[in-house]
Amino acid sequence: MSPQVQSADSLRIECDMDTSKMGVLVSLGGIIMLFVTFLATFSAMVAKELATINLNGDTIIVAGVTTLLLILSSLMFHSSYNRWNVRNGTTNFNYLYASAFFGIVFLFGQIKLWLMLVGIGFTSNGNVLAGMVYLIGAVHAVHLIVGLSILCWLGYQLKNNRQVKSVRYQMIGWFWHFLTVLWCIIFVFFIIIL
Amino acid sequence: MEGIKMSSSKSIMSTHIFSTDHKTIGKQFLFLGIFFLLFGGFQAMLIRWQLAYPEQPVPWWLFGSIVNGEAGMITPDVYNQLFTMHGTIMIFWAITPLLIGAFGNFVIPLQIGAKDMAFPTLNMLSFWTFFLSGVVLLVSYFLPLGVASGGWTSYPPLSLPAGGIPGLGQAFWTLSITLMGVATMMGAINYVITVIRLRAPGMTYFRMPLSVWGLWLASILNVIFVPVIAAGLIMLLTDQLLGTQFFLAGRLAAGGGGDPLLFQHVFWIFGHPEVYILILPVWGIVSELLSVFSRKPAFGAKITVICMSTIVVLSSVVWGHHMYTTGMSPLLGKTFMFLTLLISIPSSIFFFNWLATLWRGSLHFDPPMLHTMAVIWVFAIGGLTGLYNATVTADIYLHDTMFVVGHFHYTMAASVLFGGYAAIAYWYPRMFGRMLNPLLSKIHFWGTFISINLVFFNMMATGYAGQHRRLYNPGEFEFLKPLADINIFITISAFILGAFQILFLYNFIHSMVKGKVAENNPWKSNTLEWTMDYPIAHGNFSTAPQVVNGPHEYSNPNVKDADWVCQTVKIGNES
Repeated sequence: MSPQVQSADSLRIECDMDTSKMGVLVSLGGIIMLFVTFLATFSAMVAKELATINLNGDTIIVAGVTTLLLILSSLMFHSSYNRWNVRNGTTNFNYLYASAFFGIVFLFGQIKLWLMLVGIGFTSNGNVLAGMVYLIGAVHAVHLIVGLSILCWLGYQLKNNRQVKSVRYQMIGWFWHFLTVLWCIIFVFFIIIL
Repeated sequence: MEGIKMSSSKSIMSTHIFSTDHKTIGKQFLFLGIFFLLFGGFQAMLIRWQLAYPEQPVPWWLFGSIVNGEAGMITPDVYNQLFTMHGTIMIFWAITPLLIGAFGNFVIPLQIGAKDMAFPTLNMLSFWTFFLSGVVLLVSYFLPLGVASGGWTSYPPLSLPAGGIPGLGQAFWTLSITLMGVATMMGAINYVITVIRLRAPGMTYFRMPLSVWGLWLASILNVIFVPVIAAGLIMLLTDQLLGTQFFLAGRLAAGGGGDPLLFQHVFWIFGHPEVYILILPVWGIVSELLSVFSRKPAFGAKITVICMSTIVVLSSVVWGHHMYTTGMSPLLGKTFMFLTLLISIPSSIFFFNWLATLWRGSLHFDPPMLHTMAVIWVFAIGGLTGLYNATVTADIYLHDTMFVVGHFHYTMAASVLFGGYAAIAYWYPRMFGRMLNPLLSKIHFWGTFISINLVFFNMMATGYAGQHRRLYNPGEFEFLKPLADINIFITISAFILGAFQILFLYNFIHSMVKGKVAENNPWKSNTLEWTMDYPIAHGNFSTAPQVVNGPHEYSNPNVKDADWVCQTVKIGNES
């Protein structure tokens, strides 16, 4: 018995925006569960008084500035998408570059922050709360690096006049904004709980 | 959603290796799962050898020459490695790919009338990430100090270098499970979205076959709880490799240290839903097949769905029953006990639905049905003995004994094994176009059914008599010496069980080549996967099927000359 022969066109499922969006939302839900577990573990450690961290003014300022940079990066991406959407597929690359640039600066800011914390005696193997701060920051940074890679891919595609689906641009934005919101929640959480 | 990409030049690489066709990926998971099932099962034989004939050389027919011990004996270290890897492999690399990976992939799109998964490329990546995780695990067998040996739960501090297990085996274990979790997430996202978005016209949620319901609910649990264990494993990995001390305490910690119990909480917040992740597909498949082979509608199908959904919710709030002996507050213990016992209500309801489906049915004892009925038996024993473990007072005595081992092997091994065999026997004609040899299938079934009960029921007896689950040599304890004979009996039964699995493997491979060519719908089933000619092309349906019936319209009096009707065919005046 021979298999049913179908043309490639008949097999191509309509590009369904809602399905893609739902897929991204479920994936983000998984990332939320990951960080909820980290933060719950962190809270349990604080509640059990396993260690203490006293942040000094400098570290809070650096953390605050880097957080603002990430918010700025998110806003830049939003502007980039809006222009691309309004101009029917042509974008202002400056906004996209700025978004990636601020994202990279945020990552360096994180490293600076970690070095400052180590400098005032909070090492990852000497203080479990400091270890959690580094770990949560690092896992967030890994996601951010993934996001930056996708931004680079997007920029490359646009630069070479390759067609980018609107929904794909929008989903990349969702991921990037999500990472910003996630970091803001983590930052506020740290400030409140420490 | 991604389109289904059909390359004009079809190479073996694109059609069999890196295929995005859900059916091919399902078969890949099936083959990988069977490989690991045999590998994990082989280690079980070695464990049983040690328990029956402690410190005696492993015979040649158990590949004694490869056991890395003194004079071919299993040493305590190797024994710890054996039970650790047996549990790990069976749960994560055998059961998971066999049921969720293989049948989730193969069955879901076909039964809901979809052309493929929502994200076919992600689906392919899921398999290959899973494959990679298996490679990482297998590579750890070649490490100088051997594989992980901290038990399948790998509780710290035992699983940390400071806790006593040297080498990188534990780190490889953690890394491989983390990778496996990533693969599972990719698959679960696909299943969840596929069911929500790609059902054929008319395929309402309650017209979905119960097997799809079971797989879908399991995937929802996966999406929610796999990230939880991922967080725990990442922390464990940094403890193992980078010197953090999240799960070290007391004199083992260099500084203030953390708390090992935190890992237990994180592990079981995932771990208990994991039990349901493994068993939900079986419940769905059993509910479905009982209807097919009783030739009558699944009794209370909607209630069964509601019960399974209730269990999904309850499964997330009962993890503490694994930790009664950790010194938790009695109030908390009672709360977890109450919530756990609550699960028995929906479980009992759908269990009685199964029995009611059988009642006055026209039972066809084909191999899939035999395995399905075996699930009813073993799940009944596993479920009932679970009540003792859920009760604080009984569990304090039974905790970490062979009783627990017998119990969870009845629920997670025997139920899932028979569920898996039922699924293989049932969908084999769709997967490979041929029938399994029915005589060999029945011999395999009876051999497996009898021996598996002899193994696991007697394990519970030894546990009730006080045998701890991880003893290297029970004979060293005076009060356990009278159990020597029963341990030998269990071991011989286990070897018989293993031998019958070789018969299955022979039948599985031989039938693929020489089996009787299957007709399109050999079981006279209603569901959509039986409506196409074999082999089913990538894309499944030439036109989207229009579903007008539920999946269980067997022996409907409005259908003339047949006791079944496809979901796409109108019955009488019904719409």
